[in-house]
Amino acid sequence: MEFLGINIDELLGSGDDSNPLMWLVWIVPIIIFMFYGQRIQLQITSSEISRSMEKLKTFKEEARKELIEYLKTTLKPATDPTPKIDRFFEHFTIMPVDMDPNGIVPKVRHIVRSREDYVRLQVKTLSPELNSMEASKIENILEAATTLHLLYKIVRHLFLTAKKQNNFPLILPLQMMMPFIMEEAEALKTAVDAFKHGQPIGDGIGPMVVGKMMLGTAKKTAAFETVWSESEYEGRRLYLMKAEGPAATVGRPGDALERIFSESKPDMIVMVDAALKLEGEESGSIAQGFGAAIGGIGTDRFQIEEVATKYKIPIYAIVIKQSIKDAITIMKKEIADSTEKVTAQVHDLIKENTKTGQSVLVIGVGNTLGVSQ
Amino acid sequence: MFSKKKEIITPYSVEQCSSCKAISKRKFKDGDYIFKNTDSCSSCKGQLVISKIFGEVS
Repeated sequence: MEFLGINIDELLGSGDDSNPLMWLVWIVPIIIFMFYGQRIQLQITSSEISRSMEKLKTFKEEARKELIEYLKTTLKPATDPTPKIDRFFEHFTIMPVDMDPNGIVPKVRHIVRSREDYVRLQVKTLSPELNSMEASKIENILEAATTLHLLYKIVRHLFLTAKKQNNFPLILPLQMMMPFIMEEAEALKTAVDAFKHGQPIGDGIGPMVVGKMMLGTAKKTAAFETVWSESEYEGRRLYLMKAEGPAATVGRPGDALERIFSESKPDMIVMVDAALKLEGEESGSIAQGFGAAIGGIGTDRFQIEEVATKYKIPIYAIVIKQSIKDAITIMKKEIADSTEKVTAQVHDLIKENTKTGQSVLVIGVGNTLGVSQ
Repeated sequence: MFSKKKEIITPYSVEQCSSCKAISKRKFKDGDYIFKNTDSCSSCKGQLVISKIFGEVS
């Protein structure tokens, strides 16, 4: 039998004068793969995941070591903070029952805030001379290290379960998710350095834009770790709000908005925030849309949407695109350079959608580490 | 084929004079933050303010 000038019988060794050994060479692997293919694949996949897990373990341990070293060098505590830090890593939060979702947001907010207050209090006990700036930096490093610890534990659990039960389908989702998990883990590991030195991160672009608009105005406290001030733009009254920098905090924009609305009723809300870019999109590119541009667990967004709906006020959003790594590591030049363009877009939005004499609330959303006002 | 090069990011601070608007770029120092008043301008003695802090691949 000839095909494209190749004798198939000769190639497969199936001619009358064929060698039975050649048959075995073909048939034995087929039989092996029929019965043990999944196990072989499990072994190959396992070794790939195992390598990534080792890397994840190194990240987790390095972040923990960096945190402890940082505490020892900056705070010089009387006792070793290691046991306390190790206890923090194992802390967990139980979310409220969601069988009856009516009124669940205040419950979530209460639990999350209780946890934040507890962490803040515990960090402050590390040293009596700890100022709020240092405390906020430590809280952020602790959060990055805790997330790495949790990521490692979840990956290890899924991996060991699949191995223990020789369950190939169970390891497939983990293999697919590993590149994304590793990307986040690398970002968290790099973020520790920015937090330690108080450098602005990509997520701080919203506070940076609004912070610039707040320069030279009288700042007032709107809510916990959140400030606001008043300004003018082409006959419009501007209420500017952001987390209080240069500490590493996102503030409480939901509470702050309620406080501002108790004093005055803006005609429009503009939110400036960082947003995750899609693959292929440029870091620092700007997009405009509608709705409350704010991440987190959703409690602040809920508060903002409630107030806006109650008073029928439109919410406009301007987002600056970036990857997860860009958002939590030192701000990239492309993102920092977008400030002027974003400010111009905020001004255009105000001019196009309000009349002289009206007022606008501009909110800079994000972690204001290294960004003052 | 998809191997990534390890990037070394160097942090920089950009200072702008509030009077003559001259811009200068220098390496980031601990304690720097955006909108911080730093030294006086070498050419007009105006106030220098940190306008940007960013990381660049070196």
